Amino acid sequence: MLEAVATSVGALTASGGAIYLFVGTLVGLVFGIIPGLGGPTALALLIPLTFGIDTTAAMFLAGGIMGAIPFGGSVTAILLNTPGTAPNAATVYDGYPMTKKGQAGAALGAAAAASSLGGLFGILILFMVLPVAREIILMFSPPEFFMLAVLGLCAIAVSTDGKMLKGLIAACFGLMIAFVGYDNVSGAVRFDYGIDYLWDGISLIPALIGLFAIAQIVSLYLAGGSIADNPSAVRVSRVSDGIFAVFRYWKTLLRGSVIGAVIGAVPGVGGTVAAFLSYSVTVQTSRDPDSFGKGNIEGVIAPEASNNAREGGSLIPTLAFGIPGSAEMAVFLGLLVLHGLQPGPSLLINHLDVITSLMLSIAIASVLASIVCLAVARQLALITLVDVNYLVPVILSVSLVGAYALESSMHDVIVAVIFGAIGYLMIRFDYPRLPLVIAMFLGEVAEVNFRQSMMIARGDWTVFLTRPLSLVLFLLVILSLSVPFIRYLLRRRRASREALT
Amino acid sequence: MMKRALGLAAAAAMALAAGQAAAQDWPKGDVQLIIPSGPGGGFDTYARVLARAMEEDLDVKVVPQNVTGGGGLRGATVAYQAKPDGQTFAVFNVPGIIEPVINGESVAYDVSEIDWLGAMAFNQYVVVVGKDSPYDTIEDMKAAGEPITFTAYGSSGVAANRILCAEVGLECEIITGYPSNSEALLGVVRGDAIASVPPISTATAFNAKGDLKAILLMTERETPEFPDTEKAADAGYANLANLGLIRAFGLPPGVPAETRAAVQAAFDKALEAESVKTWAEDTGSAFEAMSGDELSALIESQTELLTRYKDVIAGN
Repeated sequence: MLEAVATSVGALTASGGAIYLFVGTLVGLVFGIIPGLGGPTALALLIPLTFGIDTTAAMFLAGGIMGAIPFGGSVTAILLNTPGTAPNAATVYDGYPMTKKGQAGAALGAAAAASSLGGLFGILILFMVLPVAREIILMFSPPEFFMLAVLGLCAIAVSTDGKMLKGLIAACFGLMIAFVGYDNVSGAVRFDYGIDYLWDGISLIPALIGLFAIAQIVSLYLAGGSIADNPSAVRVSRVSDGIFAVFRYWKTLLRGSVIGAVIGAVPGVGGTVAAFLSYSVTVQTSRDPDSFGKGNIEGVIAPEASNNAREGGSLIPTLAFGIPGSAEMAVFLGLLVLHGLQPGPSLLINHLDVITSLMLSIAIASVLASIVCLAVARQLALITLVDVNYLVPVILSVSLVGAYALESSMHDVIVAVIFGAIGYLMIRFDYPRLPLVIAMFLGEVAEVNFRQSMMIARGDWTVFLTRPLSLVLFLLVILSLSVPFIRYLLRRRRASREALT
Repeated sequence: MMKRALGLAAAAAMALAAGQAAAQDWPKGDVQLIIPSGPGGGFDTYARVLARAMEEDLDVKVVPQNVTGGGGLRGATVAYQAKPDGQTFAVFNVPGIIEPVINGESVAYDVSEIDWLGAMAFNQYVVVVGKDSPYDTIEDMKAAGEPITFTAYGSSGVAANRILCAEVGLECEIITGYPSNSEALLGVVRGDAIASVPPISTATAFNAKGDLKAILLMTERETPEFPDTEKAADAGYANLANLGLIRAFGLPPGVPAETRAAVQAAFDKALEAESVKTWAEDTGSAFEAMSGDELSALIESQTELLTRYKDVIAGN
């Protein structure tokens, strides 16, 4: 292993490897920042460009992109309340309130530091669990996937912003949307209303662009002024404050990284769930849960650490069984195959240096992307001082182009516009938007795995309780839902005891 | 160098043969290759390998475009309805596009109207179980006295699975909903079900660590990866060797003859390309170039076969 790492380092320093890594990082940052474009798109566009270069150089390019994307997506989440990629959706919840308070610099600093350290942790965890990767993956069957999805759905409870009923209504709406399209289990198309675009369901990315970017600029335009409520405060907030905060909240960072790496290793669940889980666990274990959603810096650190750590984790299913851990990894597998490598355990045996090169470049890129961004963070933060009349046309056109670029399809643009209207109505009538996103994302995972579990167990519901890991996850669901209640009881007891003394 | 020069000469000769007039008209810009499934899967890989090989000789790009949804039907529909100017062609999932027709579902395409260019492979199936499974043959399964569970991916996979069970007279329960053939195989390894019926190439790629045991090869061809496994014909089920997944390429109906000839020449040349052969060898992927006529004949026999099993496929 060490020998392969040495080869990779050698390749990085020689023959222009570092240039590929740097280019990949910049591409990843840009694709991450622009809403709509994300890892899968960047990698798919890159595949033909790698035909002319050797596999190791291609790994540097791909690793650069994979390492940089998650952080790039947090920039717009923090500054514009618009997640650049789906896994950054959880970051808007505290990142944007920080921006409104004039703390954009600190939020960017925290996101940058959490992303780089999370990325490094993810790779470190990958190194450590590689020997037992197969066992970990074999532990997760449909009942466990279902429980994991339910655990993810519990994040809705902390994302309702105190408006539980409206949050649940939004979540139910999200579930309804999630069930549109081809049903993989029965092979039937549902709720397509004769429109062939809907055979593939409503794509998450254009919906996110509409819900966040478009809805946001409509409400910004109507409100006028600038994004930051108090423009003079921006100068006070320093990027370094954010970086130091990450070290102060090292537990949040570590927890986020572990959640990210573990969820990343579970195929088909992905970074969005990891980020929401990390966020909700942080809120629930916090001494001051009410401060979240109002600009708590921990609310930025938790999801950002986890979605970078996920990159390392999502390599595990690929290395152990040759199956993709995420949409991005699926495209990456295509790249490997086109370079004549067969994804799977044979990679570790025959092409270890290729894998170490990839791991190395993901780790370096997550740090590099943060450094590049920190260098311009103050300038980026100034965007929040610009008169929204100038911002609106720019964001609107970038968002719509992003929706189009995803699949060169006008249908996606229409979806973005429709969800823009829905998003604006939700803002106007004070419905939280994150529950809708969580439900849209997890609805299908939960449904497919529930039905598969029922087929495997021949309709026996106890399958969720008789399998050890599934039972553990079920208890975590119960725990996460009862924490606020337990906390309330404890507080009341303490209060009554104090009243007595 | 010499090899390249020869290659160029051959290319020039072929272009002449393909019709000089058409060579001027096509390609008129980047060519679009529609893929009816997501990036990373089998059809996607074959299509991208072909796109790369075609680009080697064209001045334009061959842009793969994944049009997912409807279990592959959306991509097929979009490809069929594309403008017939030779700028758009597609990889089609056969028998995936035939099954809904046989099941009487309304589809927006006519399989017999698709203008076939040829195919890159005919991937036949294999029945696999976990390496520690007590079952070594189909007969063992039949003797088990209870239904055998299978994991399956996609409508073609489910259809192949049902036909297998009908043909050998086995009572089966099929667990569907897996996102790919590899994940259906992972389902077998972790115990979701007893067996699965993947394409041979998928099983080979997945089996690098020997997690699987093949118990029936649904092919007549020599399969060095599973040397000791019984072939369907020897087990008395010769019909099963007719099933397979065809990586078929075609144009929408109505492409003018001259343009068509130019596309065909570029397609044929790409199948000869060194890069395709090396890729197939390096990754152990099945590769067997098939002409448009051979493909049409194969599609016809597949349609006949599937029609015969119509009720079985529908799950009745």
